[in-house]
Amino acid sequence: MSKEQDRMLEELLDSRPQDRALSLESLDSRDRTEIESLLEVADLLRERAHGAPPLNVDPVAAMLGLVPDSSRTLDDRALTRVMRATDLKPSELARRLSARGWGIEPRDVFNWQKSTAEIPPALIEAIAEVTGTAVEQLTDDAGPSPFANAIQEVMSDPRFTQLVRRWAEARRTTADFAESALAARVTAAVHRGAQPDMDQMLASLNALVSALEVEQGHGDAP
Amino acid sequence: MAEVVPPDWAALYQKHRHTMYRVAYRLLRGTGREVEAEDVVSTAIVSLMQTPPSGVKNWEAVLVTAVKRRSVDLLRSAAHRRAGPELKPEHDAPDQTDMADEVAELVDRQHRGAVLWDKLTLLDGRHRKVVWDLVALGRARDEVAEELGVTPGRVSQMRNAALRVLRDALIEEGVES
Repeated sequence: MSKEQDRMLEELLDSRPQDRALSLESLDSRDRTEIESLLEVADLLRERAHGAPPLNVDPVAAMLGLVPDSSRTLDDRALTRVMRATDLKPSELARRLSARGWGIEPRDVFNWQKSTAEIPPALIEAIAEVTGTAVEQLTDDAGPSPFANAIQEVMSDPRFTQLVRRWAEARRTTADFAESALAARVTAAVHRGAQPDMDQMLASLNALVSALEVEQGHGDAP
Repeated sequence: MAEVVPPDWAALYQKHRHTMYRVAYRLLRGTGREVEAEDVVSTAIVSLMQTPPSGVKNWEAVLVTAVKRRSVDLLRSAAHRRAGPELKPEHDAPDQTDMADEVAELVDRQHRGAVLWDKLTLLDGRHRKVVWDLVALGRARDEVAEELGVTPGRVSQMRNAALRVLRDALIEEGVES
């Protein structure tokens, strides 16, 4: 690699793809092809490093019920009982769940039948729907966890209701979706391990909603 | 004909969430709004749940399209605020831009990224650290040089060499852009 190529690569590595054209134009086609191909690899690497956050701190995952809840696990004996009652084989349960987008193998179902499994609440719901039973009949309820208590406390506060209303208005969405979105953020914050007190949590939600209102032109700029 | 059951949103998100974040990062990179990737992904999912598409053949493309639209909305609203005039009702129309090619490219580069990830094993530990820390994570060159006990100039050489090994591996695999 020539010194000129080195210099150009160094200069362009931190630039956005759409901002590179002018600098690349000054190169002959061979050098341009060389630099472009290396920049493409660099961009792919960067994108690879910027995937989703871990499940337990991903608010969307929390909103959709993808974060396992240790206080509500799938009860192996209850599942076996329900499958026997509905004459459902592990391979058939796996097939039906996979048809709904869950990549479940028969061996996963075998494992669920052997011991209590901590699987996402959304998957437990899917199993309940597929087997025509209620979630409560499939889960081992260890009572509300400290996490659940903290989340419940925030969500039952009137200030949370106000925030839901403002979020729904700013996002032009329904109150149900707004509540899910904000509840997901509370859940993600609680699952991060650092449990701030209720006032701190509501203050941080308020900051989030205010920023959104400013963004959407519903609020006052700071 | 049997009714086709749409996948569960949670299952879809579990499968494609990394792709959604990576696409949001790519589109927001360098705009100063990279930290809003989470919000882009969240609003993309919520909007799809509110108005679920029908007859979908490729859910990955649907999710990528939603992220793309939300990113464009976010950047446009920021640009508009900077530019000034009020948004009038006649401007408030859905974006009719045909994104199909761009979305196909965004989906395709996720697959190239996955191949590239596997090819990192071709590098020795020191070159892998240099290219990952310096390029992927954006760490300072001097810091990485100090950790490896080499000069910053040597780190740049190692980075360039690593990028070429990876580029050649992608070409050999037939997945270069």
